[in-house]
Amino acid sequence: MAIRYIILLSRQGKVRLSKWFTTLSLKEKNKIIKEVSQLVLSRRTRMCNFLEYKGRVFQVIQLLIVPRALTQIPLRPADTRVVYRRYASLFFIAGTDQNDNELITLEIVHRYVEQMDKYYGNVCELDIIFNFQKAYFILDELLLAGELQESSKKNVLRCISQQDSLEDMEVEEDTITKLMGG
Amino acid sequence: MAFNFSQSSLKQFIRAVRASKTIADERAVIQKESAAIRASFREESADSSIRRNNVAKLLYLFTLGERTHFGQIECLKLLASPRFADKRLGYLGTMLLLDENQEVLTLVTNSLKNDLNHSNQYVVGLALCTLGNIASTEMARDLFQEIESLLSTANPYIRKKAALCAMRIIRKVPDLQEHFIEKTKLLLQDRNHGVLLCGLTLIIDLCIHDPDLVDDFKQYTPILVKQLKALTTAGYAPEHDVTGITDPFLQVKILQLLRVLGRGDSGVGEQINDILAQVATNTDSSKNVGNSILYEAVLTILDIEADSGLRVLGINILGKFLSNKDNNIRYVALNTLIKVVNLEPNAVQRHRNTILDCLRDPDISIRRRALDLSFTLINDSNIRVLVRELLAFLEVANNEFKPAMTTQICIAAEKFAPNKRWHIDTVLRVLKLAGNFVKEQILSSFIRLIATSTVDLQTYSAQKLYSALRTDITQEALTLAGAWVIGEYGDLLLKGGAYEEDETVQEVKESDIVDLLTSILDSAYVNNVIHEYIMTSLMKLTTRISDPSQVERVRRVLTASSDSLDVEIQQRSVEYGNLFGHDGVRRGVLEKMPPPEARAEDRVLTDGAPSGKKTKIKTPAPKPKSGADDLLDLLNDETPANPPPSQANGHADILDLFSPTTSPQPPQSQPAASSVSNIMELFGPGSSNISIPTHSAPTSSSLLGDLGSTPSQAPAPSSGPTAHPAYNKNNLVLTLSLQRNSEGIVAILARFQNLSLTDSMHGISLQAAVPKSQKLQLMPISSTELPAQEEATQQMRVQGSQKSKQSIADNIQREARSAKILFIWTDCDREGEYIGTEVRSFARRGNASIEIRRAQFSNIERTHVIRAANNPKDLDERQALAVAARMELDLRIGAALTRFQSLKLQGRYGLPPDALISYGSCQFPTLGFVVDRYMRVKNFVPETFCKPLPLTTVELQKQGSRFLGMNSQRVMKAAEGLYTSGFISYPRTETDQYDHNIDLQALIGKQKDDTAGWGWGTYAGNLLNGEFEQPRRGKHNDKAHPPIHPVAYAAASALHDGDQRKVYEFVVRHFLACCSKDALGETTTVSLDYGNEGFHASGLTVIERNYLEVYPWDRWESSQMLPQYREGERFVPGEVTMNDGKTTAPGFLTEPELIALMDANGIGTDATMAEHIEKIQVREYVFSVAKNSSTGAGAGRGTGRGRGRGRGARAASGSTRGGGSAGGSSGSSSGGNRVFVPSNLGVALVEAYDLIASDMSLSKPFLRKEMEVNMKKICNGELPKEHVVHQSLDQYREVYAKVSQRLEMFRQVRAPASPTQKQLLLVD
Repeated sequence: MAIRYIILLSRQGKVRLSKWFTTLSLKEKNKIIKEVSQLVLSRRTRMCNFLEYKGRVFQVIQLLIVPRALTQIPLRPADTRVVYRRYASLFFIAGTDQNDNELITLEIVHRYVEQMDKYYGNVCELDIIFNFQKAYFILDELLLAGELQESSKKNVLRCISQQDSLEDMEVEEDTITKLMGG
Repeated sequence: MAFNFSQSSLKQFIRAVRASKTIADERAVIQKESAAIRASFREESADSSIRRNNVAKLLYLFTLGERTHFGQIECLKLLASPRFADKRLGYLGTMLLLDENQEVLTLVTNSLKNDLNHSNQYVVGLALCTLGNIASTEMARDLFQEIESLLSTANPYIRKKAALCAMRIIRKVPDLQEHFIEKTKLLLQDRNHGVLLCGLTLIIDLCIHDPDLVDDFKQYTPILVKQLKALTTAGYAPEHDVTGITDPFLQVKILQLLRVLGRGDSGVGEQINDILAQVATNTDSSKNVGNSILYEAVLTILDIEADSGLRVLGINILGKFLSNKDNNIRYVALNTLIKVVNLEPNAVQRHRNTILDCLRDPDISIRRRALDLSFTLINDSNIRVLVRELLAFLEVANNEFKPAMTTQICIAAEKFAPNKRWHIDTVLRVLKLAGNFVKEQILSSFIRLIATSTVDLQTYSAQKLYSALRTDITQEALTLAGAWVIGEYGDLLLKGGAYEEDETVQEVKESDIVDLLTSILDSAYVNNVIHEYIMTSLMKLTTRISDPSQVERVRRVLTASSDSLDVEIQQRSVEYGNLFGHDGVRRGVLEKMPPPEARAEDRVLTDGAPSGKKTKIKTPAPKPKSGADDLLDLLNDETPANPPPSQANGHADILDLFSPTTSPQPPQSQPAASSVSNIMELFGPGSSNISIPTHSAPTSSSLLGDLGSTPSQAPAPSSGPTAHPAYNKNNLVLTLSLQRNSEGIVAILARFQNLSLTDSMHGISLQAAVPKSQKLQLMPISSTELPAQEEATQQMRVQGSQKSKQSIADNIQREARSAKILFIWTDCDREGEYIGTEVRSFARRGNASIEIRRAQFSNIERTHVIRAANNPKDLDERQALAVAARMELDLRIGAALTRFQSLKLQGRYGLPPDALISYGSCQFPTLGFVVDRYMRVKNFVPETFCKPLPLTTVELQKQGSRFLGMNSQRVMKAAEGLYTSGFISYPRTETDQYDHNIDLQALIGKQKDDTAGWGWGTYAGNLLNGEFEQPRRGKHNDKAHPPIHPVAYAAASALHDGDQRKVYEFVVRHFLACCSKDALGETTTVSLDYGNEGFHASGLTVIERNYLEVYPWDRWESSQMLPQYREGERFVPGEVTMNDGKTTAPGFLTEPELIALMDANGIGTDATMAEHIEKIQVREYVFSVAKNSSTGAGAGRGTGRGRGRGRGARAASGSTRGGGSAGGSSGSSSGGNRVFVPSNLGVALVEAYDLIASDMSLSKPFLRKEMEVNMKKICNGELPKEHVVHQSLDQYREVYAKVSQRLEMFRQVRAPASPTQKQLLLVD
């Protein structure tokens, strides 16, 4: 019932950010990134923003042979849905559970983009490349354990800028200490 | 600031990574930085800014997917720091680099505990975030109390995070949930949206993992309803507004919880019916946000015990979704309908047509969902309609869909079949459409179905399968089913009779059946399994047919496989052969099989078959499981039938002569199409009169395939098959008749007639090629032997491929219907123009009045693209025509010569008898370059330097101007003076060969007494003393005058006129040179190792000067005089200088060189060059070898033997220098470059063409280059396309004629010795 991972991918297939809410080994993560990148990069513009990743055929046959009620469809752990959307040169990719609401996931992704746009001011790929820590900070104020934690547009950025100023204050204090101490 | 020197900043590091040009560079940068970070960690600096810098870089490495484990501890150190900046980055690093499985994570617990009680909310927030994302079981146990108390703090920022944190803790340790339940309930009444959102998430998660909790939360239903209602009716709230909807995230969450609570509880259902109806009707569905809420509402409506009106509303929303233009919405609808189809089957059925439409969507995500849904829709009442649709989809589906689809359709058919006849028809259709994608189980259940049917239906099945196989033998499962049924029910098939109301099938003769089965055995589509099936089938037939001659024929066919390499086939062959000796037993053994009994355990075909009949299953029936595995293994081994070789150059549209849709192009728009009609008659001047070069042996009739195998145009379907004459020569007449059937397959019957009264022909074979977009089935010829006055026939079937590019064309056509203007943005080159015209022709088919514009652009920079869009142009017809011309030529020429070469050379040079030796008009010049270089590299020592040819007037004039500095008029005037004085022969002659009767010795004798004046007396004397050699014979003889030669001796002093003196000297010296021996020389190549460098130098040593002594105008020397060396000699260089040099001795051709040559000669375009190079390697004309392994490289060089001769000494000299002279001893690096070395076949082909048509050899770039020049002329409007095509065809035809006339020469060219034999030659 949640987002399992967020990947920001350039059109050239370079990863700009990756955040994992499920426990996976480095090897597994790299495999997913590779396969999902291929899937996403091969999509055309007007196609839908959803993809299935793994384990589909078996489920269908099962459905047909042994009809089951909707709640009883067993999901294999590898079955995920990929919700992605391209913003300028970046693909924002979210891996979710099979029965998540894909449309609202798209809105969550969009909210993340909006918040970054406000924070960086007309965000572009280079901002995210060189200041990736900030992109992670924003994401951590938006999502926790793969779930949206804040639906307010103001709160997230307010928290980020207050934390930023905490850091700035520390730097100022350092400078003063240094001046005083010579 | 103690900033370490080895430290680079994060930005510098990122820049360095991004600046890396290659992956290797990037790896180097990353590895260097990783090492620097490790080193810095070891130094344990007290300055936390260094640690922050390192950890930040580490996080960048993580993003790149690198290993970062060595930095985990540093993150922990950082988060334990009192500074906020340190903590912030430390926690981020911990979350990214560590997870619950890392031992070190336990070290964080203490810091987390401290920070959870920190006075700053952001520090608490960081700790909560970390705990919520990666908490392990131990941490959950250790820290749950802190979270529990934070859940009720006054600070909403902390409260919301604590709620999600609690979710993680309870997931890790479900026992802990009781500590949270009560506080969780309070969250439901929180006024803060964030806290409420997180609280809802927590409760949903709790209820899903522990359904017992659901009842506990049901009491909050009214509160949830109230909150949802407030959100839906709220006015504009900027903080939570998303395009006019207030907090959709919260709305969706509430709907989710309502679903969890209301599932299976009518009480809750009643409470929420109203609000659901309100959401479902009032939510704005024009935006994605609104639809996300509607979607959630529908899921809830369908999942709870909602009243029926509401359910209809829900289904209708999905119906609306289905017809939405947005693919996302349609996807969601399909996906949801799959979930509810079992609950609301009828409501879903109503949208059946829309769902079936989605099967044709270009988006694979949509198609997948639609396909899944379609199968779930099938029931008793709609099976006919749906299966019809699914079969239609199967026809066009991608191969990846087919295996699952065939299985699904057959399972559905079995489940819901209205009657057996329909069931049989359906499976039959599946077998026809996708017989190569059918699982073994499906096939066996089909056979079981027929075996358990009535005799009438068995007859019907046999008839249907028989006629299906007569039209198509390429679908494996169809062939297998057909073979089994025809064998088992052969008697019914022969007896005939129609099934029910069906039209009577044609009478089937015994020989027809045997013909069909043996023709499959002889075809290219046979594999071991098919072979086995057909053997058994034929064996059964022996008891079901009566004609002894056919039985005998079957026996011969069966025993023919007794030496098969496949054990199973061999065993069958031998066993069946033996069975013929026991007639009584044979009848019993081959009796009809009783229908199989049980259905449950019938995975295996022969289950319950008691007879000793062998089928392909080797495992005994009692082990059905392993038997099934075996079967699958057998199936896995199968390789899809290989399509026959086809010319890749062809383009679908140009060659699609069988499709009537191609020809009626809009006349104005597509002039290119006008020549489509006779495109396949290679070199043929008319539409049916095909010129075939003569060939010597009338018995080897295979040549007929060269041009006419595919006739010009399909006759009108109504007119019935008309026979087109394709070949009529050497007593062999070949006619082709075409018939198009309803499925768009063109059947071509080739009829061979031997007109000879006495001679029989043998070894007849016909070859045909189709472009890639079509499929050719070439059935075996009825007889390869053709006695006098007899006939033979061969069937071909050509089918336009369903997939290929057809879908693109359809798409263009469809889209054009609703468009006014089509803007073409293909590449702005000739090919682009051509593709543009193709696009246009399809667009016009969809919409005749569509306006076509063309964008002119050369790059995709923004402003440029905008400018191109603002200044549309028209398509350049001429450029498109030029491409059409080139494609036509490539195809016609390639097809003719490939066929010719293949037929002539199969079985030679160690080639297999079915080898494809392709010719391409770019491919061959490319090969020519490689071979040319190879021949040059080959070392000829010593080489001959040719004396001049006897002197003609033209030669005298030319040499006069070159050597004597006189213009031709002066030369001739002097020569005439000499002639009238009686010193030389008549100076106007074209002859360059001496008559055999002429006494050359006597003429030389007249010069031998010259001692001082000219200085050639001794030389002439030596000629008379044995050095004389007969002059070379040129090719010209005017039969009037001999070559110019001296007739009398004239002392130098006797000639007063300076011009006359010069000319006389030249004539005499030339004459003496003609009567001399050729000069001999050696090239020496020195290769030495100095330190690690290898050096090469080449020099020429003339061993015997011979004619050069008397003929001073020819100079034969190299710029390099080399001292003499012995192999292995060591020497100490006097001086060593190292100069940067670009020249190296030419080795075999490297790829860059080859490309440069191709470019310079206009062979291929930058897009296709690599393809041509690849092609000649695939064809094994050349091999690519490492430079070092080709020992001949740079070893020496010389002129190609046998080529320079005819062109006089000058030409030879020129080519020596052109090919050689590596200036000086430049260092040649022994890098790992690859070079091309031709194979024996490649050399042989090029030599053959060079020998046969030296001036216009196909291996030379001239013809191709000329074609390119002509294409440019078409583009400039200087030449019409037809003219160019005809001109080029004429040229190629000439070469073709020469080649086929001198066929023996072509065959006799011997491949030279292996290229590796040549070793470095050092001359003593």
